[in-house]
Amino acid sequence: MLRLLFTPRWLARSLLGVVLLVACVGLGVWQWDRAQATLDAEYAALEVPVSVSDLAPAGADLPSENVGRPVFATGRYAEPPLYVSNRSLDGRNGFWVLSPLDLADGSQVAVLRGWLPEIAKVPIGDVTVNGVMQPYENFYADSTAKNGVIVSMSRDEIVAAWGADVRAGIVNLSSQEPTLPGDPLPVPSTVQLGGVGFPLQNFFYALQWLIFAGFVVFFWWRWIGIDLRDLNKEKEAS
Amino acid sequence: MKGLAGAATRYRIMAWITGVLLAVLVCIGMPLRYWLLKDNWNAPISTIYAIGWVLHGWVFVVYLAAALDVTFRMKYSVLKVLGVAISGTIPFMSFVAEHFVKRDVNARLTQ
Repeated sequence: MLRLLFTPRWLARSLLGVVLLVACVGLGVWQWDRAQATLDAEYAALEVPVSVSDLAPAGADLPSENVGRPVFATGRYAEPPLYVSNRSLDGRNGFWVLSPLDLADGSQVAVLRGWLPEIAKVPIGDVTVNGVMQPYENFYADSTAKNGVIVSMSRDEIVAAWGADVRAGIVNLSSQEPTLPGDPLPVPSTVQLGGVGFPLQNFFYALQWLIFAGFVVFFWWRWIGIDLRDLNKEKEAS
Repeated sequence: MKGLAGAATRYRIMAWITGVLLAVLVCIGMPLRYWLLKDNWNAPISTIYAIGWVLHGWVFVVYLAAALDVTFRMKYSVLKVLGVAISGTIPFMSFVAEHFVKRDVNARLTQ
């Protein structure tokens, strides 16, 4: 076999095999990098804050892929606020406060302004808010509001208080400009950013290049086997 | 030549599947995707188009296995093997390659 390998013909074939092998692996790595770069770019794009009106449709459900995305909104806190009971902050029991934010286009969006130790009037006024889109809660669906106090931030409770035209989802406030005297303490968002489209095409191409690299090795091996067999036959014949 | 007829049939089936899929993607898919719908990346046709290329990738893997099998059985030269292999990625070339392989195989089988 070694003698066959060092014939000019097989040296050339082996060299071509190595070139093809390196090319296949290199192209596979390139496609893998492309898939990674696409993923990174998609995640980076999701982390850029956008206007709440781009993500939260009015009178509909919040698309699941918009959960966890940073948003901003400019408008005016309106009345009436909703108080969510049994919410703790740093171990202290209290309430979360939701206010409707009137936007310039006439629509409203629910803003989770933060935590208060007890029910107290919250300030109203013109603000610009930054926050994270979060979905409605849907536990204790049967409960009803009593004096503006609710158990869970469900769409039904919010619509009952503010009307059906409110935009989908809740903006979990992270910062507000300007701050108003008597603002609740903002609470950290607990929702995770949703997934992004996986670049299947690049990922599969990467995989396929590795399969082709395997083909090169397999057929080189098979071919040399055939030549070796033919050589032995010739020897036996002579 | 044991198995050559079967290998040739497998190769010819894959050459036609690969060729038709590639022709549809290039002649119908590409103009739709990049010309008529160039501003609408979220149209369903974009998804179907992307799936079509993923499908072509896997179909080509099978095509390549069938092509290498038949060209080896035919003891083609390295250049001819590479030519038949690559023709699965060039629009309409797989039909041309299929025509020549079929001719060669038939000549061999009727010897």
